Amino acid sequence: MSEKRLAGSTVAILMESDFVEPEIHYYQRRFTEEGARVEFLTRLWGQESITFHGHEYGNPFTVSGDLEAVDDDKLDGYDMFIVPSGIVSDRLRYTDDVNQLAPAVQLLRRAFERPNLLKGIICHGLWLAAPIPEVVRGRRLTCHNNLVGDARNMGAIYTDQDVVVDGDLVTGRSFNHCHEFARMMIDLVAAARAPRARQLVAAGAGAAGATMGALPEIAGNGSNGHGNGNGNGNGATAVISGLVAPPANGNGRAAAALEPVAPPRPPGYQPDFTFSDLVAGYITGYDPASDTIDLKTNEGKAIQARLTSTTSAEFLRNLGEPYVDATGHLDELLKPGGYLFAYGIYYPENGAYTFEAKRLVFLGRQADEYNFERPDWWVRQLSALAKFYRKAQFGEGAPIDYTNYRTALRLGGEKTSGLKGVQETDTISRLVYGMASAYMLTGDEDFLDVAEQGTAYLRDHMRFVDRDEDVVYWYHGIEVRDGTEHKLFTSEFGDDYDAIPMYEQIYALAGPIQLWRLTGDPKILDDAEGTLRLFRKFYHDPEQGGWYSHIDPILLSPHHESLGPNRSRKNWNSVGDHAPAYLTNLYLGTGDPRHAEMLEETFDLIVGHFPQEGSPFVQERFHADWSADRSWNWQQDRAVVGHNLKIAWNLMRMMAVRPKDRYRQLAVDIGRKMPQVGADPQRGGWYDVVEQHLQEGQEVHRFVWHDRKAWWQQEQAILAYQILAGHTGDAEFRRRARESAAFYNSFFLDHDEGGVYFNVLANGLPYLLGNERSKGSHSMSMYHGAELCFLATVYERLLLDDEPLTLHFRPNPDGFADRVLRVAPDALPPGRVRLDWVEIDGQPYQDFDATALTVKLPDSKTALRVRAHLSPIGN
Amino acid sequence: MRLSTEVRGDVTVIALEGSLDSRTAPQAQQEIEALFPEEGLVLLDLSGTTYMSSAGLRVLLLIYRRSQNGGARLALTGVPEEVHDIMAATGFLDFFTVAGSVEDGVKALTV
Repeated sequence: MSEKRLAGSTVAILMESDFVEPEIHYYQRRFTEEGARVEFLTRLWGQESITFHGHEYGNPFTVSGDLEAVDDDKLDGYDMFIVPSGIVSDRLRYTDDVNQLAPAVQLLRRAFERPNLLKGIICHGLWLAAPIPEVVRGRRLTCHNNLVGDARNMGAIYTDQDVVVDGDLVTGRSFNHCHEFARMMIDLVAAARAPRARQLVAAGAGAAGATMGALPEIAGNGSNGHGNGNGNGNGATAVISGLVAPPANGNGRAAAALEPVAPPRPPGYQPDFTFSDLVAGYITGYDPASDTIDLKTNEGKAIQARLTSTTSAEFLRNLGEPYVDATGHLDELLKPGGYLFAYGIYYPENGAYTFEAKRLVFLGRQADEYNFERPDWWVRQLSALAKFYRKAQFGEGAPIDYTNYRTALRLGGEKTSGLKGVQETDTISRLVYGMASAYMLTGDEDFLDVAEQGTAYLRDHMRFVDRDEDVVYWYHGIEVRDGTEHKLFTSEFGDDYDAIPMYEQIYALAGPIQLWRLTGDPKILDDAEGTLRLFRKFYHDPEQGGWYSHIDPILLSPHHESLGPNRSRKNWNSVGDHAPAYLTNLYLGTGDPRHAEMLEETFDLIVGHFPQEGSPFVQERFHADWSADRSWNWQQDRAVVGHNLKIAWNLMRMMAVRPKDRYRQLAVDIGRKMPQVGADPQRGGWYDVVEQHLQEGQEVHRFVWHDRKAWWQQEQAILAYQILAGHTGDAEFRRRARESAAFYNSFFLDHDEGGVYFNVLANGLPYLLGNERSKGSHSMSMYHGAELCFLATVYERLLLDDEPLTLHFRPNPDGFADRVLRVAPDALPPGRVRLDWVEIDGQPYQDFDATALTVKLPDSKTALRVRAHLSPIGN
Repeated sequence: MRLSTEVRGDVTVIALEGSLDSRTAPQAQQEIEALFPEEGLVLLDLSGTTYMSSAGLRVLLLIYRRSQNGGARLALTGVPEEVHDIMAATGFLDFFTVAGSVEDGVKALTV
């Protein structure tokens, strides 16, 4: 290995006083030894040169390279750009004008604008990036142990390793690791300069990057954390670059780079057979002559797709809309900036892969058009969902009779045959939630009927009023056999068997409370208060805070030994699920400060106990004293991606109730981190359950059971990023919301049978086996799909698109004791929305408060029809 | 709280005596389960119960569910008026066969 691997390349290293002598001397010799020219740069303050002194021994070191004289050409000529250890970075970030970035910081930013230039930051060097945190946000890196907090504050994903590679950024822990750090930099630059790599790079980057010879294949891999788990240094980058599709032979554009080099097999496993897969990305180029599309994935990786004579294209469509073909309009549609899904086949050939698309889905007719951002998209979807469940449970137009309700629905909505049928409390409650929400957006009274009768059925059949204890709780459900009912007292689910889980009690309230916001029915409020007393008296931990996850059915104690692994435990559901399921809505409808206090307790506990050192995910299960429970049943040391996103979403809602900086910080933090560890960078969409911690040698968080994507987790992502974007105006959050909504609407809507799929494979195809085939089951029913439609409408119109929204209410004559109807559809930031006009029974009505979003209802002997028109207040 | 059991024809009669409340419920629950046959007919005689709290009601519900899951059929007898009222108000009286006396209960189960 005597060849000089960096021959002809240039390494730029920043310098100032208090440098670490052995480190700088090592770089000087080591890079030179590989044939590189090493250039030291500093701010010369108008002098010819400056002599600095080292940190440890005071050794002198003279630098004449002027960092302020590095123009674009010069910068383009560098192969590496290094910010070293010591106090160099701190001195260089000095700025005389505090409104200006220091010259060295500006140069670093320009370096980061060049994905082909490999950046190296080691030890305290990370300080130099502090004024420009966007360059490291969401990226994996390491730094001196003292700077871990700084790294996280910059939004980076601190990774506890000596050397970390994230695309075009290499970081090292401390000057003690400068040799490993330098070796990694050398390996990466050498790999990128190798002929084979050059070929793949040129092919993969397509028109955009065909001229350079450096690092986009590494850049493509790095920042997502999901590249390919089998890498080992060079091998990893080679494998990833292999997944970048080359153009066909004879494509003139990249032909120059396609020298007939027989590539050696990279170490590790590389599929040498055809396989089909999905790609999600933004169009960066289209060449009709060669039928080649250049795409950039969500994480910025370049991919090329070829069209074939049998490639079909369609437009994204909503539930209830017909298929609209786009195959004949590709020339107009394939414009830069447009987002699309391409499903196709990878062919291993010529040392790489050719990707030939067979099905394209366009999100809209123009680059910046997304069909799901039409003002009525989600409303129509909700209406279609409501009609599906109405028909499945009670028949189309037939009388609503809950004795015929069944929890288990097959794919097409049919009930399972046989005499035995279960009616779960929670699935009825979830159906009620969906129907009440559908009424609020559409005013369709059939949906309201289904919601009201469902709530009455719950009260009559599922409710237990415990007079001794003065509490209300809810049966798991009832079983109807041969026409007679049998109560199911405690939970029937394996996780919770023979206990009363908090989760089920919480979700029993979801539907009735959403309905109560419309009608004000005092019976619903009474039951909710009784259930809240149950929570306070039996689930709450007055000493250490929070709520236990289970109580035993006899003594109603969370500590009874019969609870087994659920004894004295707290979890995400028992602590946090109050907010999304019912408590936020109960607060919105009542304005009662007691509920705001309970919300506050919930979110204080979440920010206080859930984030954990050493994992990008929150901890979800706890013992009574809030120590982490990492042994429970299936959860072990595992994270549910959707719970993390749900926490981010609800923290942002809480910002409109009782705002706290820590709420926003955690929400933003989760929003920044999750894409790297929970999203699919190649195909779009969000994963399910992953291991919280990486094991030795792993770079990707392992999937626990499978890499499928569940509908409800997509919902959490869409709502989290919409509300984050709505509050912060951050373009990255807006993009994430769009990408998440694009995947959901493209792959979860069941256009054949109606409703939405439970799970899809990583590539977007529906997974239709076993329980995941069903449409009515526990948690499925009509809750998450409806909640998404309802709140996506609210966020999209009122917080993102400046569109008004009309809501429907149906207050009972005895509803809302104070006759004040609160019409805010969700916890909205104060001052962002006003109540424009109100109509009661078709007539304009004046007695309302435009800023408080309340209507003082007239005295009436019959139920009223209220329409409330909300408008965003322009900035 | 005391339990006794006797077999009348095909029916196992389990009689409860004393107070069934949150203090005695776990014990009663365990003992009843132990006396409960895998399948067959069971009559729960409550005429000797002096008091039944909601914890007692929950015991009845668990026993009832057990009978549903297994192969046993269950009936109640001697339900004190107060307990009867509470069971009616909470909506689960309908799910038990309730007989006026042990004899009626045995008859109802063996028909």
